[in-house]
Amino acid sequence: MPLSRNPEICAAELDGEVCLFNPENAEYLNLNSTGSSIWNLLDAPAELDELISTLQERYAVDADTCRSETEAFVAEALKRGMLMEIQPA
Amino acid sequence: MTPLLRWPSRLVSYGLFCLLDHGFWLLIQLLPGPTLMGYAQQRPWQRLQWRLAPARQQLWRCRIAWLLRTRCRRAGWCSTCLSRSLSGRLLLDLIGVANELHLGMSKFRDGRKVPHAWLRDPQSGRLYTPGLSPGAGAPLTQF
Repeated sequence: MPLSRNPEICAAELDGEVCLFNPENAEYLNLNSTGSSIWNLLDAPAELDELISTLQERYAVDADTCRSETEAFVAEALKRGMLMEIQPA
Repeated sequence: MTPLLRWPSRLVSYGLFCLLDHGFWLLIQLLPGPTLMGYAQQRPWQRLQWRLAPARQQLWRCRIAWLLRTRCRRAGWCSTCLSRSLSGRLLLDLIGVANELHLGMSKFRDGRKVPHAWLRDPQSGRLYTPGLSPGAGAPLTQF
C-alpha cells in the first residue's frame, strides 16, 4: 500500500533534520538523517519499495541496510501516526 | 505615570501567578497529551470571560504581560515554557485579549533540540513569552 505523510502532522526543518509535531497527542519527534530523507521523499505518496530504491540511488548504501533502516523507520512512523497507508479506493 | 501594580499587590499577584504556573506544570505532568492539547486549543475557560471596558482591559493586559515577563526571567523549579505560556493564555483569555500559543523546536548551542512554546499577541506580533532565537529554532504550529 502506498505510504504518505499524515496531513495533520506539523513539520519543520532545523539544521537539515526534520522535526515533527503531532497536535493530536502533543508528541514531538526529531528525525535523524535517515528519517529526514524518508520524510522528504514522501512529499508525494510512494510505495515502500519505491522509497527504498530511491534512497539506494541517492545515497551510497547497501541494499540490506537500506531496506532494514527504511522498514524500521516506516513501522515506527506508522505506529506513531506520523505516516499513513493510503487505502485503495 | 501610574505604576501597573503597587508593591504589595505586585508581590501578591506574582506569587499567585507562580502558583498558577506550578499548577499548569503539574497538569502537564499528569494529563495525557491529547487531553492537554484539547484544553490548550479549545480553551474551556473562555466561558468565564470577564467583560471589561477597553481601558481596563488594556491595563490588565499590561499587568499580565509584566507578570509573564517577570516569571520568564525568574522561572526555575517546576516551571516550563509551556506552563508559563498556558498560564498567560488563561489569564489573557479571561480578560478577553486575543493571544496565540506557538509550538516549535528550539536548538541549544550544544546542538540539542528541545520543544519550545511561546505566547504571542496576534495583532501587534509582540511576544508575551520569549520565542525562538533567530536561526536556532523552527516553528511547528500555532493555535
